[in-house]
Amino acid sequence: MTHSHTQESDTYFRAFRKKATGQSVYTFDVVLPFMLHGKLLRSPHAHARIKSIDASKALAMDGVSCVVTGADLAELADPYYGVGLRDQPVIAIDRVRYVGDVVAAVCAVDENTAYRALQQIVVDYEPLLSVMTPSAALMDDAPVLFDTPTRGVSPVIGAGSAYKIDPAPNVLYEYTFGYGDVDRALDSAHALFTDTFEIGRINHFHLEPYVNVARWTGSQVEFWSCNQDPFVLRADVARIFGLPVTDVRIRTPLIGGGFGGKSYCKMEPLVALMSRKAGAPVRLALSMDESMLTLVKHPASLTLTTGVDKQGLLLGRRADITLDGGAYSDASTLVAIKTGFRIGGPYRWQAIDSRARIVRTNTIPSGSFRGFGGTQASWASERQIDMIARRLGHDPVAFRKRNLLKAGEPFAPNDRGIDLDLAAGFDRLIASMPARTKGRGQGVAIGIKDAGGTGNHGQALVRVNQSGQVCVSTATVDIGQGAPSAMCRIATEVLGLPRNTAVYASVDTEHNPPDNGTHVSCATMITGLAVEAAARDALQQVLAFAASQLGCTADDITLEGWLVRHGGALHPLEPMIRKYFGGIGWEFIGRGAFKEPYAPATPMGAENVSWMPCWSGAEVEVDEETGQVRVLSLVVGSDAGRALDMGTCIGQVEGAAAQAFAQAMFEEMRYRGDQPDNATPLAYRVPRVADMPQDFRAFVMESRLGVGPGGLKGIGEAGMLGIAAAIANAIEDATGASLTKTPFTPERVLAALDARQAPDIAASK
Amino acid sequence: MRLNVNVVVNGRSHALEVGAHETLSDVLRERLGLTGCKVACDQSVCGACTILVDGDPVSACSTFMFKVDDSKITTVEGLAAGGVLTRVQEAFLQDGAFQCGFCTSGMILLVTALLARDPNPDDATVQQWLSSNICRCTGYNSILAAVRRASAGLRTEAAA
Amino acid sequence: MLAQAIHPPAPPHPIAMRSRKHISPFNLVRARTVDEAGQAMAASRNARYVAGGIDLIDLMKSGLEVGTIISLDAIPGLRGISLEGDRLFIGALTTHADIAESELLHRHVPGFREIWATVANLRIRMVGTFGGNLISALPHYDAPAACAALGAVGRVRKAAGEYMDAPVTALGGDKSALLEGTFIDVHEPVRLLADRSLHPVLSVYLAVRPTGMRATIACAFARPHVIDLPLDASLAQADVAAEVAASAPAMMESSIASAAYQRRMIAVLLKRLLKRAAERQP
Repeated sequence: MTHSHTQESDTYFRAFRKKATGQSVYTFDVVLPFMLHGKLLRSPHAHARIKSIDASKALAMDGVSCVVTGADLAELADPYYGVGLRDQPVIAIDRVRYVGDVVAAVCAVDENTAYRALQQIVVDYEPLLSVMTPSAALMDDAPVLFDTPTRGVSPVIGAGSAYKIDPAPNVLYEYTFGYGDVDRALDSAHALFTDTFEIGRINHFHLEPYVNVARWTGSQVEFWSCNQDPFVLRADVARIFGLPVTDVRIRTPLIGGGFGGKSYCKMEPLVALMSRKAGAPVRLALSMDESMLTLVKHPASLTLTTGVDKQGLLLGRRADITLDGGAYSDASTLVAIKTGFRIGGPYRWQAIDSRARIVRTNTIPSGSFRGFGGTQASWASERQIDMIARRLGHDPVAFRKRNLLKAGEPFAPNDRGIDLDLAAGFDRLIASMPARTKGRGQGVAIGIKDAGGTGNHGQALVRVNQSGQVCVSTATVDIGQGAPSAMCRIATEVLGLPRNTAVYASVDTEHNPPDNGTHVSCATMITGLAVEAAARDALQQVLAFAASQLGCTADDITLEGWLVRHGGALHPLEPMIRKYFGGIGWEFIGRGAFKEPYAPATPMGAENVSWMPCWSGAEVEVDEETGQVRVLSLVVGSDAGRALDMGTCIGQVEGAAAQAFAQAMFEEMRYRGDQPDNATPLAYRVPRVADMPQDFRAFVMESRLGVGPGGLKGIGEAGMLGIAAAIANAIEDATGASLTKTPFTPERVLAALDARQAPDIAASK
Repeated sequence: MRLNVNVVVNGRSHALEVGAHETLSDVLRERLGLTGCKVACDQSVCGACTILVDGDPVSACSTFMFKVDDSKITTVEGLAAGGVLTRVQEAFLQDGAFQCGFCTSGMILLVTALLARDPNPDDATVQQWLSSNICRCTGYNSILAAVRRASAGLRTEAAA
Repeated sequence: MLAQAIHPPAPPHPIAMRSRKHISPFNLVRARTVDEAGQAMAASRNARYVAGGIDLIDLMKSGLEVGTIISLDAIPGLRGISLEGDRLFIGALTTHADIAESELLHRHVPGFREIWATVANLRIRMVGTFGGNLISALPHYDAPAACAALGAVGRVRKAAGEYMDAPVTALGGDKSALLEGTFIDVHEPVRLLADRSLHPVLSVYLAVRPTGMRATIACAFARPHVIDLPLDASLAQADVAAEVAASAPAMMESSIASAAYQRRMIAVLLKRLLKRAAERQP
């Protein structure tokens, strides 16, 4: 299903047109005069001590400007980064903790020279024992990745939530969340079920690799960066280099895909360090192979114990969640919080008790990935709900409906109520499923997550010039989600101006007002509210000016396009403005802001801004001889509150669902021993057209209950949440085989089919 | 080793002296300023760098310049002659067939080559062709819709 | 299902330094005849022939240094499919796309063309050559398996200038040998069947002639594993397939499929091919 963009409806046709004609400028395309090129030397060891690094031969090569190593970090104010907890050095200091850890960086006149120089660097390693899985890392005699306590602080949380930093060796962080008396709820249950679910490691596989260009002028550093969080990055770079934030300038051109991979600080401080040492602008464009070694989504194991009463009402759930954080913290704390918090799913409970731990291993760091713990939680929760319904002989659809939260009911104590009709979307999903066919199975799932982040804020400027042309300026970046288009639409709606009068300012921390970053599906909602307020402010200024010129009050007049109506008369604004201000004209600069206040009584420390559902349905056919699963239909729906552009919303839901579909079916970053086994584009499989179900559809509901302009809310992550569970539930429906681990490789499916037959064989003996 | 290579890029002739080891993508991007050619996987897998050599889709990241000596090359910049978008570009816009846009140049050129061969491809052919290139954003529905729209447009044009 | 390799090249060392920007300069010889190419090979240190270049470029991106590249593109007669007596000749420079479009091949070896339309991706099919696929002979590559099932032989020019015919499974390894093309015996009708649905975990090819059948199992072994089967094998599909699977040599383990699964799948896929052969299905 696609929804057409029509030419007149789209302000951003110009921006879209650039993408269709090759004229868009991505960070990948940025070139500065006298720019050098960086390349990185990476550890072949999963865990090793660096005894020495000899770069003398590399430095002697023609065209090599400098080599940066851990020794250069001494000059930094704080050489570590990470979200909340900071344990990742800008470059390895004395130890490497995964295959791919960066040990040296070369700056040279071109990339070819830089590569050749890397091969001249001699690193003497003392290999250490490695731990490749959480279970290995948690063993009593396991080698420990960090010898010192972790720096930094936990993200904000509130009532019902608690955390511990470094609670045990190789455990970075432990988050617990709960309400009610879970022991009592489980004791009183008619039936109790304990199941364990696993989810594999995947990479973002954004097509534009990580790329940054840094340049110093005196003590000021400026970046052209693919990072999706310019102000977060600015703060990190400033802290690391001991600079005032005003000495750090981040420009964000178009971003060629991120999906969470480009959120938060990564290699940017290193690029700045390379540039400073080289005394020249430096571009560091990672290869896709390197991108794959930079960040992954947390693999996880989730054990859920769930109690149900006689009527099939859910009573309580205990969850023990282990997330593989990889070698460094990155955004692990947040993912632990969100996985633990979301484990109950869209249902009513008497009690929840969950614990989510981040375990360190000698693998690629895990961090944010579209859905942020929500995918892991929804997978386990919705798979188990289905298994419970089937074991109890209940219809999985009716079982869910009996327990579903209603609009306005809180997801957790003191939190904002559910801002949509979960049952209505579920009904629509069921109605959208194909008619039953013999030999095929169908499964459904309802994923849910909070969206919009915790206590987030955004600010905006809406500038309207003498001709009624609008420039919207925020820190929301264009990462393909269509946010700039949405921002312009919000502004022009308030001003009553045609949509094609607005342009979206390029993002530059020196000019644009800040926000928390373009992630957690918050841009259109939170920064959108700031834009709406800024547009109102600009409108008031226009009306005040016009009133002063017409000798009336602002209440007497209204704006109609770029004309002012005063009683029966229409006055064109442009001549009025030029008459007063002269030839250059004038800008009415509206300012707006939105801040979700912190609220310690809520579990997250602030009310969740919105709720994001993912109604998912799949129809499958299973080859019982090979274990191959063919997904014939995949239907996915979410709620946008209000869809500013239906085609864009559908595109977001479909795109996320395609990623979740791949993670369910085949996509996985695998290790063989301590080496990544498929960290190249050829070996790592992402979905192509031929992989997608023939019948793949998305729908978007409009509850109008969101807090954003006109009731809208974010939708970017929604499509990820329920897909894996829906497919596994369909496999069970078709064959009775129970899948509890993604991806559902033919071999795993065949093993599940075999296991299904096992009790029968035993019984017949 | 340096070589002389003659190519016609988007209708304009270039006599270039290049290194034997230089790839088409780098010459297009760094010598001719045609940055619409994006490089992503650098392994002939994703198709972001797809350009047309004598009408055939080719991975520019994995093609040595000497391989295209005396060839006609079309990049995305060469499609909208005189600012008028092609049917394929128009269809991509109409159907919102891209999000981040990094795969878009390659996709548009791939579809252009397909429809030049077969203005009315059946679903199997479309699937076979489009499966050559990766889009990580859209889930492909909108791209398939754009191909159908462009192909219908070509049919209408042919009938008129 | 789309082809994606599960057998990456040996762990790159150093780590993640594969890039077109890593390709080192080299000398280029554009050979006009096979002999000229052979002479250039003899005269150069560290030289490589290149046609489509798919695998060689990837290796060079990972840091493989090559002194001289001998381009075979300009040599006439190496690209194309022709009938020579009762043998079909597939020139080494014939691209995968050429094969997928060849009427002649389709007439003499029905089934071949359809299989080749799904090998790799379109851009690779248009550039990658049949000969290159045979010479690179990565375990999941299709040309060695298809050719081995068909009993094809390759014509090779050795470094010293002499020509020899060799079974395709013996090709590769000798970088100084130049493959001119491959011969398939078509004196009796032959058709080619394949089950690539589990590629790259496992593929099974089956060539069916009036006098007998030959199966090859690809992906799971370093070289295709060849089994000759009598024509009546197709009547007892499950038994024959199980027997073949049980007797197959030790398989390469991959991180997505165990040897036990691969062995079990040999039986399943071969049984299905034998059934198709018996029922004369395409």
